[in-house]
Parts: sequence; C-alpha cells; structure tokens
Amino acid sequence: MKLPITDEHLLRYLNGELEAAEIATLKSQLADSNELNQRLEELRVIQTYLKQSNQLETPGANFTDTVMAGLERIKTENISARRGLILLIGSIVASGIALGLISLGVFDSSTSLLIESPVKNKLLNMPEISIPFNTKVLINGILFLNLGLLFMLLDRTILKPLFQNRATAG
Amino acid sequence: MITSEEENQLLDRILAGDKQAYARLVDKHKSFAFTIAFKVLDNRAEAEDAAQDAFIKAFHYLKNFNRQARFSTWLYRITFNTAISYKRKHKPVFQSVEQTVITDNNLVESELEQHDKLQFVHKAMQALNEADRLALQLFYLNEFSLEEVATITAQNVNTVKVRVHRARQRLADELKRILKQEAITL
Repeated sequence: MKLPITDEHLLRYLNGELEAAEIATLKSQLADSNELNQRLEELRVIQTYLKQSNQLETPGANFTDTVMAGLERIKTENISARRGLILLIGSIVASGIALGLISLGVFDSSTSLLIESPVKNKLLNMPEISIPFNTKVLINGILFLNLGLLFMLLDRTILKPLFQNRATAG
Repeated sequence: MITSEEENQLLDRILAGDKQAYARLVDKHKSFAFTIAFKVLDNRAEAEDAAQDAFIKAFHYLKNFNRQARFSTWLYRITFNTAISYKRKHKPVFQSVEQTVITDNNLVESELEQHDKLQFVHKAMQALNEADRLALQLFYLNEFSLEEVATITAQNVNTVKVRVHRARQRLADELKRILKQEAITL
C-alpha cells in the first residue's frame, strides 16, 4: 500500500531527517512517479535558494563605534526628559493658579482695546477705534492652550518612556 | 566566542556602569542583528541604521531585561520591531532582482539553468505575504529554531510553523507555474 507523500516528507528527506525505512518507501514511490520527482526537484531548488540567500550579512566596519557614540546621545536625552518634567510641573502649577483666579472671578470684567490714530490731522477727523473683548474668555483660551501643552509634555516625558519600557522588557 | 555565563557577567558589568563592556556584546551580535534588519528592510543603509538604533534601545532598557530568555533573542526582537517601524516610516526603496540574487558570470550551462531557477524563486519570494516571507527567512538563518523565530516576531510557535510550511509550498507552486510558463514560451 502506497502512503501519500507530502511536501513535508520531501522536505524532511532533503534535510536528511527521514529514517532508513521511510527513505526506502519514498525512493520506491519516486521511481514510479514523474510528478513526485518533479515536486522533489522544485523543493530542492527552494531549499537551495533559501540556504544560499540567508547567509549572515556583515555590517559596516564602524558599526560598533557608531553604536557606542549613540549611547552618549541617550545620556543627553535623559537630561532633556528631566527638564521636560520640570516644565510639566511648572505648567500644572500655573494652570492651577489660573483656574483658582478664574473661580474667584478675578477675570469676570469685560474690557476694551483702544487704538488711537498715529496721525493727528486738523483737517481730517480720524475716529478712535475701540475693540471690546471679554478678559475671562481670553484667559480661558490661554488656559486651554496651556492644557494642550500639558498633555503633550505628559506624553513625551512620562507616558511614552513608560510604554517603551514595557515594550522592551524581556 | 562568549559563553552564556560570560554573557551574564558582561551584562552585570554593563549594568554597573562599564559601558565599554557593551561594545563586546555589540561585536558578538551585530551580524545577526544587521541580517534581521536587512531581511525586513531589504536596504543595507537603512538596515544598519535600524540595527544600530536597536542596540542603543537595548542598552537603554537593559535594566528591564529579566534574563528569562537569551539576551540574543531579546535583542533580536527589539531589532525586528525597530526594523518594522523603520519600514512603516520610510518609503520603500526599489532594489532590483539582479542586485539581490547571487550572480556568477562564470557558470556552465547546467549551473545557468540552476541560476535561472534561483532567480525565479527570488521573484516568487517577493510575491509572498510579508509575515510568511520573514518567518521563512529567519528560520533559514542558521541559529534560529521555530521557537526563537516565534519569540523574535512575537507570534505563536504553531503560527510560525504554519507560515514556514505554507511559504515553502507557495514558493514551490510558484516555481512550478513559472517553469511551465517558460517551457511554453520557449
């Protein structure tokens, strides 16, 4: 009875992993089947290619020196992370103070910006321009931008290093 | 050749602040790391950048390495991930088949036929699903078992086994198809 010969059998044969009895069975079936022989040849070509094309590559001569120089760069970046953290704490404090002042109603009054004409002409009567604006709205806008900056700093100085740490933990 | 015990001692020295000891580890593993990056990126300059970046990251996170796996497996995983992120960031650089397949101008006729077949296999490789192709290439890099390829690529061992098996079958089928086509056109 002929056992079905799969690609797996043929690959194991090419790798020298079959037992003597299995080799004998395979060879007898190869003798009777052109199709099997052809398949064996196709897999042999594949194996040859994969072994030849997957040799170890050699990097450039300065590879190690470049890596060692790069380690110094990390030290500098760590100092920047510390500064980023100080800036983050400062931003949180400033935002806290601003929120406190807003809640106390310090910025509740409206005001206006007066623009005087630079040229005063006796013949032409140039009106003064007054632009009204709400101080509270302005301070809220600045606070909102500050919160955006805060989240960016939080991401760069704490969250990103934390997740990178977890990703590379072995 | 560094033994695993010597490697552990090196790691201890590096963690104690001896940065020069890291140079020995880099020298030991640079060829494999570079080869892995090259398999992913298919460009020598980018592969060198990615591999160097991986070594720098590995140094930075060495204190988190718990030594349950081999240092090399951990490093090669970082290298693989770094190369993948490089691939996503940078535009692909076209590299023609002639540059990447082994060429020899002094082949005799039977060798030429073999050489042609290898060219066809290379073309068929490019048509493979990227994950299958990488699993296959890593498997055929001498040192790696299926388990190690699975760890490096962050996949299940059975998944890697299926990928390698499937990729080889597809290559063989593709080669059969190409050779049949060549026979018709001759």
